[in-house]
Amino acid sequence: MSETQLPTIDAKTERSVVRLRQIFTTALLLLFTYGFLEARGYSPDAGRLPMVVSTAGALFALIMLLGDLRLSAELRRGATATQIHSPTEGALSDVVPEDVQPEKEALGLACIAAGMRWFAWIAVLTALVALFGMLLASLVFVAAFLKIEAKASWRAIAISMIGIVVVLGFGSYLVGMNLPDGLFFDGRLDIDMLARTIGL
Amino acid sequence: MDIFEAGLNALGVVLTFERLAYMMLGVAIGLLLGVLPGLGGIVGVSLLLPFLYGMDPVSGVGLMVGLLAVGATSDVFPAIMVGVPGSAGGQATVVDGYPLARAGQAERALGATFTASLLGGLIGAFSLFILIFLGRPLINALQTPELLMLCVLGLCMVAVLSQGALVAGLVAGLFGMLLGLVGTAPAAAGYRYIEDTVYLRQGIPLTIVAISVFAIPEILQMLIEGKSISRSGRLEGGGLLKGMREALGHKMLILRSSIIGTVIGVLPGLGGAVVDWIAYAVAKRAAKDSSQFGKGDIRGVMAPEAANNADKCGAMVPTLFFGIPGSGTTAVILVGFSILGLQVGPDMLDKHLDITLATVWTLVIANVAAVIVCLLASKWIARVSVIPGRWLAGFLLVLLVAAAWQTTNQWGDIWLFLVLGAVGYFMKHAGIPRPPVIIGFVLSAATERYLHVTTSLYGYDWLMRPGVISIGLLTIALLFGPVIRNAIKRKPTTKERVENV
Repeated sequence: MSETQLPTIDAKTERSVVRLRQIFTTALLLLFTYGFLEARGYSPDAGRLPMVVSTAGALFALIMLLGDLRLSAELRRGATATQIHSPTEGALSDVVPEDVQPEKEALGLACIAAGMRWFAWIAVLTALVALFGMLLASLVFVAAFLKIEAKASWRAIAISMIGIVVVLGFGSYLVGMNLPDGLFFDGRLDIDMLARTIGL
Repeated sequence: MDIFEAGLNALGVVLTFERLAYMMLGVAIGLLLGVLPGLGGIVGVSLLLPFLYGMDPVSGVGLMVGLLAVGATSDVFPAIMVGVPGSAGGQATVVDGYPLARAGQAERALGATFTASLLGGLIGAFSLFILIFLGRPLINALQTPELLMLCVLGLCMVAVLSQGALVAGLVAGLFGMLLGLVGTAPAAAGYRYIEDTVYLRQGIPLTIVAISVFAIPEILQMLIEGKSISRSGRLEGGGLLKGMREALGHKMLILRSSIIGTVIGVLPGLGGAVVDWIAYAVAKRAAKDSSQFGKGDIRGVMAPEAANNADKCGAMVPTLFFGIPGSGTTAVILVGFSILGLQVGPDMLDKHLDITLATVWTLVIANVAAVIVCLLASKWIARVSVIPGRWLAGFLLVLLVAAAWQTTNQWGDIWLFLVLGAVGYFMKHAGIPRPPVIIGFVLSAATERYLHVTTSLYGYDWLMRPGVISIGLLTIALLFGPVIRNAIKRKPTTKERVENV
């Protein structure tokens, strides 16, 4: 990211990114520690690589965490990310992803709040699939998503639903794609049953 | 009969209406499967097996190889347009392809990619033609110590792909390796890190890791911003031709990537999932200005795609001449050859030389046909990038869930997809590079297997093997080459020093 773009990332956002990294790195540090402790119980052949990977992972995660703690302290003292050049990570501005738009306040910890709504939609889709099977769940989900989030017209929704049926139908009948069954319905449209139902 | 005469005769064998029709059917199925994330060539070739009984061998080979050759071409559509790798080999294309689409340059990216794919496929087919006669000594020279060193070389690519955040990249790569260690231990009986979960016994599937770590964060980002894939909501006009011209202007990049693809394809057990990353990392290392890699550099889509298509050609060498499948897809192809009554191995170099050379021509024709179809479709498919994100996202989420389910058809696929999707999302927003996760994941099992066999068979003597030393030196050159080059460049000449004084 070039320096001319940097003013859009304010000090608060910088601190937020570093804090998110700290949380994430701490989680990884715990994961590597778990990996190491588990690997001690494996046979020498099974445990050799897990030991090496988890030890190296824990070590680098610790270095990263310490680097970010130092960065946090510097930011609290009023320095900007571009002034801080960590020996391990370079300038903070280098690691902020280019395609994340700071003006949408989705950087750092703010991404948790921003992403929650959309994760909820994914959870809804998963629940619908578990209940009604892939095909029916997809139709209900796409219709609801387009109506609520995209404010689409019913005509556009109908076209999208036909698209879903075509793609999943092609996948399941022509290339043998398996689709998850639900509690109440099968994952794919049962053409034979449908034909029997309508008397063909 | 000399080699070129044999080659021309084989062309005559392929160019009949019936055989071309079967080949085109294979190409069509391969293109469709490439577009659907989660469905690779293995699904397509498996579906063809029942139809091969009693079929003319050249037609049957054309059908299978036509399908295999083009999956790596059409899988760039999901990779570039929506940031979802269409197959394992399309992962590295996402890194620069998707940012190009976001910048309204989807057509340019597609034009460059397909041209690179075509050139990669043609160079790969030509290399296969040469390797038909020279391949045996090369394969015999590569034993497990050399394969282990190639894994080490692949792992070192993490440093190149870390985008200026080396420690974060290493942590991400090691996290990927740890994920790759879940499941059955290859070097000993027993399971690791499964916590009594039956689903995890077979390990974490690569497809799930690839689509969740890359796709979920991109789709969520698009939803948060409330914009289309192309942020400006516009497409740059004339991009397709511009991209094609750019690809033709990067001859060395494409040649180098294609050679990497062919060589890695020849090595059984590596190929597919890692070739694109190695080609990408080498392209980045070799670039004079690599600052735009990862942010939408056109070279970042050309290198992996040229390597990918060449890899498919290289993979035919161990499959045809030694009966060693380098991947799941080539293993199924071996079954297909057996159904067609063809005995792979040395027979393919004398008794069935016509079939072998027909395979080379099939690779050439299939690549050309696939690229023509994809280029014709690009202009329309690129328009997807200006559709508002919220119109697309629902459909994409449905497709991703369906793709995740294809891996093992268990609910574990979906849960894992959600968990790793969330991990990828936080990684993106915390500025931790994601490509190293995939590299670490892909190479952990192979590294462990080769390490175990190497140390069991050779002790420490393997370190002195010429092949190991050569690959070791290549690894060092790739890692430290630019540092040394910059150090040499920075040293002022005597004249400059005098002028400065």
